[in-house]
Formats: sequence, structure tokens, C-alpha cells
Amino acid sequence: MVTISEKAAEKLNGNGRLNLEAADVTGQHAARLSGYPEDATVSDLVRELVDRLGLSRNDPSGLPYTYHARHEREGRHLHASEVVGDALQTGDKITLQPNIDAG
Amino acid sequence: MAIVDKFQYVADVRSEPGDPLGQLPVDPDWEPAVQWAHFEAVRQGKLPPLMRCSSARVEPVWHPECGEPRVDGIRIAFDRDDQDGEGLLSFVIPQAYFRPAVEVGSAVLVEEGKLQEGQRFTYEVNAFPRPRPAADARHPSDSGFTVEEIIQPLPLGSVSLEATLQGAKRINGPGWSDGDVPLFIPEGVIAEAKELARQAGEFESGGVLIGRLFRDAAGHELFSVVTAFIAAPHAKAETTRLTFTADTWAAVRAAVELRGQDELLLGWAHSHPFWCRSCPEERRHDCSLLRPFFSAHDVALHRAVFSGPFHVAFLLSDLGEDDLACDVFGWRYGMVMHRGYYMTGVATAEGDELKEATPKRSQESEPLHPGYGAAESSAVCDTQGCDRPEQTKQQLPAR
Repeated sequence: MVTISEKAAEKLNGNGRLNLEAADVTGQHAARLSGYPEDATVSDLVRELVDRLGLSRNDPSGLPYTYHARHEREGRHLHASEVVGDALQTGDKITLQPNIDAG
Repeated sequence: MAIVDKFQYVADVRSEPGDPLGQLPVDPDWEPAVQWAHFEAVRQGKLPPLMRCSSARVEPVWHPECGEPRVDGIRIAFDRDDQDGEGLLSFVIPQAYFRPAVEVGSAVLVEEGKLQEGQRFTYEVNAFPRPRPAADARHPSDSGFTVEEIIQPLPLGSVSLEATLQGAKRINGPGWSDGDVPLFIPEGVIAEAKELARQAGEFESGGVLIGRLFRDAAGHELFSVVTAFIAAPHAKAETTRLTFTADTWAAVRAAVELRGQDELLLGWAHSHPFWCRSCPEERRHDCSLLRPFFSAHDVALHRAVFSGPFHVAFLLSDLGEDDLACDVFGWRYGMVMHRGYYMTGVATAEGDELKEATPKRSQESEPLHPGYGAAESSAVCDTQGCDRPEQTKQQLPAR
């Protein structure tokens, strides 16, 4: 109950935006996001990050890679349909991890 | 990262007899070339040791005889604030760098009926000025948020390169280049990867190589040392494919943290099983699968996940012989190429390998060494593209 109340209060007091950090698998690419909208979905966030971090979008056949966002604080992969404001807090770090084939 | 490129590039494509077939706009992926050049500058002690560079300029090197607009290569330039008057630092990338982009673009000519699939063609690259504002490091978006790149320091230990070379066996392979960052792989790591490949039988297997980067305590040179092989957990193995899943990366990261030694992901490894088992002997002779090769998907994985200039890929190939063939691929001039390495932990006779193992320092303008025998994909440079970097007319098969 306390956690829910705190989260609700945080949302009411906040501006509906979060500051996050993101990185790729090896940590070569990393970025700080400021003011990311809470009402976006994780799918939106991943799509933006793949673009902004300059990560590969498609395989050699032109099929899109599937990236998952690893929520480092909770140690789990976020579901694409989750809402950013529900799943993440300011200061959270996520890692983009693809499903990718070697041939 | 902000890459300023004020030019647009066009490939003039001709048939092998020389008939013009058309022009292809090409838009190469500059990122690997820029990061490779940046790493070279760090190796030479000319730029601070950062994981990546934040900005660079890309511009054509004009052909010495034909002149503008014919492109002979690409110059990657970095500004630096130093006191010795050498404010600009640049590296030249050979014209072969355009090859993957041209090959991808050739599909258009195939669709238009100007090329047949598999038909060989030649091309020359020309560049023309294009007004193009530099990208800002902070990207304001439609949604009102900003993205600021975080440049991490390159974690470098300090160890004597000479001491590390003691007892190391130089494995030339077909693609040794004195310019490559020295790479050390323990024999035990290779044995583990081989054992995994044998256990996988007719399926592919793989994992991640972890280790550390060092600066030679007696000089500028950087080198990398693999410390362990982590078999890929949660990977999906098939006969011709190995899928590294998001759970694979998470488990590898957890294993690295559990070890608590601040190791980096230095690369990855995978195996190719013996695909020719059921083929008659006479068909094996010319079979392209009976040689170590880095597929288009392998190159794409390397680019997508292991895009750092020091990242390597270890390939184990079952060619139907007693032992598995071991090959290493890595970044050179921003292209994935066959390369050599040093195997450590090997018993040597009379220390003779040590003499052989003394590396030479790379030169900025050193000719590109061939990475042959490994080119299923155009993205892997083969002899045709890379042993003659001065040649600006390239031959390719159409897609």
C-alpha cells in the first residue's frame, strides 16, 4: 500500500516525464534520456533507443531485430506493452538486448 | 555520435566488359570506420582512452590520377585540443569500405533488369558536396525529451606486452596483420569452446569471450587478453543457426558480475558443424561450406552487438578432419576481417615461439592485408577488395 501511494504521489507531483539511462549489450553505446514521457510504452522506448543509440535495426534479410529492454534494478526484461511510467522510475537503467542469429 | 559528412556518394556500375549499367547512390555505415579510427588514435596515444568518440568528420580522399570526384578512400578526421599545433588527426580508410553498400545497392539494378543475379560487375565511387548540418549530440525529439550520449572511459589495465608474449604462440591464420591489436586467447578457452562444439554435434554452438584491455606498460600499444569463455545460456541452436536471445545476454552479464573481475565482453564465439557429412566426396572438393567462413548473419551480429574496434569473433569449423579449425575475425579499417591471434598457455620448445611472437607497431598508412577465404558476405572483405586498396575499380557479384 505504501509503495502504491508513494508512486501515485510521485506521479501527481511529477511532470509526467522520467530521466533514464540506457546502454547496449557491451556498454559501448550508452545514453542519458531526459524528460522521457511516462505514458509511452516500453515498445516506444525501445524503438527510440535503437534509433538514438545507432543500433542495427534489421538483419541481412531486411527483417527487424527484436530488442528487449532489461530493467537492471528489477533484473527482468520489460514487456513491450508495459507503460514506461508504471515500470520505471527516474534514474533507472535499462539495457537493450537483441534476439540475434549467427549463421 | 555526430558524424559530419558533407558529401553524397554515387557508384558508377559497369558490366565486366565495361558497359555502363547505371548509378547507385550509396550511403555507407560510417560508424565502424569512425570508431576504428578513433581506437587507432587511442592506441597511438593521440587521443584520450575513451570507449567511443563523440564526433568525427568524414571526407573523400580523391583519386591521385583521376582527381575529384573519383573517390580513392575516406579520411576520418578528429579535432583535438592540444598544444603542439597538431589540431587535426586523420586516418584513411580504403575504398573497399564502400563494397557492402554497393553490393546491397546492386539489388536495385537486378530489379530493374540491368544486372542478372550473381552477375559480376565493376564499380567506381564518386563523391559530390551535399550541404548537411551536423547533428547535435543532444537530440530534441517530437516528444520533448533529449538523448545525450554517455562516453565511457576505456578500461585499461597496465601490463608489459613483452611479458604477456612470453610463451605465447602466434597463430597467423590466413589473415595476420601486424596492424591489428594484439589478441591473446588461452589454450584452455579454445579447448572449452571446442568441447562445446563437439558436444553440440550437428548443431551450432557458441558463447561469449570476456577479458580485459591493457596498455603496454613500456609503451603506447593496446592489447586484449581473453580470460574466459561463457557458453551461451538460453541460446537456440539449430543446424545452420544459433540464436543469441535477450536471456543469453542477461545471463552472460550476470556471470560477468558474479566473477567480479570487471571483465569486458571482448567478443563472441560460435561453431559451424560438419555440414558435408552426407555429401559424396566428389562434391566436397569445391564446396564453399568446407572452409571457414563468416556468414552475412555473422557479420551482422558482429556489427549489431560487437561493434567496438577491439571486439573479435572466434569461429570453430568442423571440416570433417580430426580437429576443429579455429579462426578469428575482427575489425580492421572498420571492416570485419580474418585476423590472427596469440595462443597462451601453450608449452613451447626452447622459447622459439617468443621470437616469432614479437609484434610490430602498426602504421597509419599501412597497406591493407588480405582477409581471404572467409567471404560469404560482401561485408567481409576478401582479397578482391582488400589486398589492393589502391585499386578503385572493384568487382562484385550482383545480389
